[in-house]
Order: sequence, then C-alpha cells, then structure tokens
Amino acid sequence: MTTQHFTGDQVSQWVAGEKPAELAAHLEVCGACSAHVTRFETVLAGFHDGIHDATASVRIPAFEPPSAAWQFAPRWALAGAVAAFVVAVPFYRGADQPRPVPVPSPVVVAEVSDAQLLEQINAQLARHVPGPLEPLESLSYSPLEELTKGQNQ
Amino acid sequence: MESATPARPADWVASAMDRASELTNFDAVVAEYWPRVYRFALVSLRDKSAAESLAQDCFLRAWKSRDKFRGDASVSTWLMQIAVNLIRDGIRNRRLQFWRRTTQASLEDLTANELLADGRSSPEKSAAARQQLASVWTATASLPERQRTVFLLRFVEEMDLLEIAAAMGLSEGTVKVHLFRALNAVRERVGMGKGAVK
Repeated sequence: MTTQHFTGDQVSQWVAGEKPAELAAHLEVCGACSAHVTRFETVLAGFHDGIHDATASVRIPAFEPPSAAWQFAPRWALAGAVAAFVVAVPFYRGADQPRPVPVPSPVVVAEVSDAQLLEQINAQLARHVPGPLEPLESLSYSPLEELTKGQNQ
Repeated sequence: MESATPARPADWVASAMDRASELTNFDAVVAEYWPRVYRFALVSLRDKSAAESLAQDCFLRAWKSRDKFRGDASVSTWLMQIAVNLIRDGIRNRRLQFWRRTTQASLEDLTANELLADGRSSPEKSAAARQQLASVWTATASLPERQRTVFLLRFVEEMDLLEIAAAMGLSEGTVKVHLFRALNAVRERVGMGKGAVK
C-alpha cells in the first residue's frame, strides 16, 4: 500500500470521508497522492462554498398552510357526492320501471253492453285499412283512378 | 449534520419526541430549513422558479403529514427525503416536462456564473474559485440522477452516508457505490485524471 499510488476508488473513499489507517499512512509518505487528494478536496470545497454563497441571501417566503376548511374540502365533497348518489338511486330505479297501465274499474266495464261491443268489432272488420292508416288513405295516390278519370273526360 | 443516536432506548425515545415536538412551531421549521431545501432543489433542478415551487410543495407536504412524523430521523433528513422524492417524481413525471428539461446536461438554464451573480461574495471570489465551482457544476450536470443526488447531498448539504441512505430510501452500501462513481466521474471531468493517481 505504501508503495503504490491511490486507485480511483481509494481517492473517492478518502474524499467521501472514509479514512482508514492504511490510506492515511500512505498519504503521509506519498507526496503525489497527498497533493492529488488535497487538490480534489479543495475543488469540492470550492463547489460547496460557492453554492452556499450563491444561495445565502435566499428569501424565505411566509408559509401559509391551507385553511382547515380547504383541507377537509375534498372529504366534504366526497361525502356530498355519496349522499346525492344514495338519494338519487330510488328515483333512478323508479324511472326505469314501466309505469302501470290504468285498468278500467269493473263498474265501467259493466256499463259497456254486449251489443255495443259487438258493434265496435263489426266496425273494425268493415274497414279497408287498419284504423291507424285511415288518415293516409285520403292522401294516397291511385294511378288507376287517374287513368279512368282521363278516359271519362 | 444529524446528531449521533443516543445509546439508551430511553434517550432515543426522548430524542425522537424532541424531534417530533419541533414540528409544533412550523413557522420556525420553515425559517430554519427553507434555505437548505431550496438550495438542494436549485442545484438539482437548475431552475430558480422550479426550485422555489418545489420548496413550497415540500413544506406543504410536510405540514400535511406532520402528525405522522415520529422523530425516527431528524426533521432535516425528513424534509430532505420529501424533497428528494419530489425531485425524483418531478423528473420522471411526463406532465412536468419543464423539470426534466432543467435537469438535463445542459447549462442553458442556470449557469455557474448566473448562480454566483446572486451570491453575496461574487465580486471578491477569486477566478480560481469560480473556475472550480463552474467545473464541478458542469460535471454534476451530466451525472446519472442517483449519483448526482448522492453527490449533492454529500458535498453541498454535508449529509453523512446514513442520512443520505435514509433520505433516498437506499442502503448505505448502495449510497457508497453511487457516491464513489460520482466522485470518479467528477474527478475525471474536472481534469484530474481517471483511475489511479499518477
């Protein structure tokens, strides 16, 4: 150890603060290693001092912690959202269900006589087109009818 | 530097309680540790506004989690741990590209001369000292993230290896490996040669 110069790791070890006795013994007798290590330590010390000098007059801003209300705001928002969801669920389920069709009461049904019911059925059967299409029948275009009109004229 | 760990468990508990009680006066904590957190953020990010934002964020997080602080480490180490995590997350977070930009090996953002221009001793500083600062400043810019963090915590903030390990969540051995590699790289880049002394 005392005859060989420091390796790169030994220089780093010494500069990093690990200073075993064998390295110290070598530095006492080796001018080259001693000068090298001292120079490197000076460079690092200059870096340290330069950074500290440059930031010595840093302004320390006033720290204002967030208010308690603001700190708990996310929790209150979450609680409100959960409450709104719980309240809204029954309405949502009610809207999803089909509404019951009003059933005529037995009293009303009894008032419709058999004769009237038979008459309604006959009227339905007598139609040319289904009831819902009847308004369209008057609007429909018939080429045959147009042709016969032209021949008659 | 952090004080030595007390020998007796009772002393350790008392010491931890002292550390935890330090947070009761948070304004004093900010006043005492703001320069350190800001300085570390500045040399890590190389951007003054980003460093100030990070320091604000660091103390805000510390304030929010002050009830969880048990005093296992010193307040200083705890704050540096928060700062290290914020810097690491900021560098890795794609949404904060400006932090990534400022940590690349480029001196376009904040040069050593600009840094010294704000210093109290810039006129008196010798040219040699300025040159030393500039050379190490340039050398650290191109170090890998962990090596740079370990180097800055050791040689700017004067933290020992155990404190650095606690702040970075690494083992002491891993910290030592990163520090040695960083020192080898810096030594080479400041023109002091590579490997063994010649």
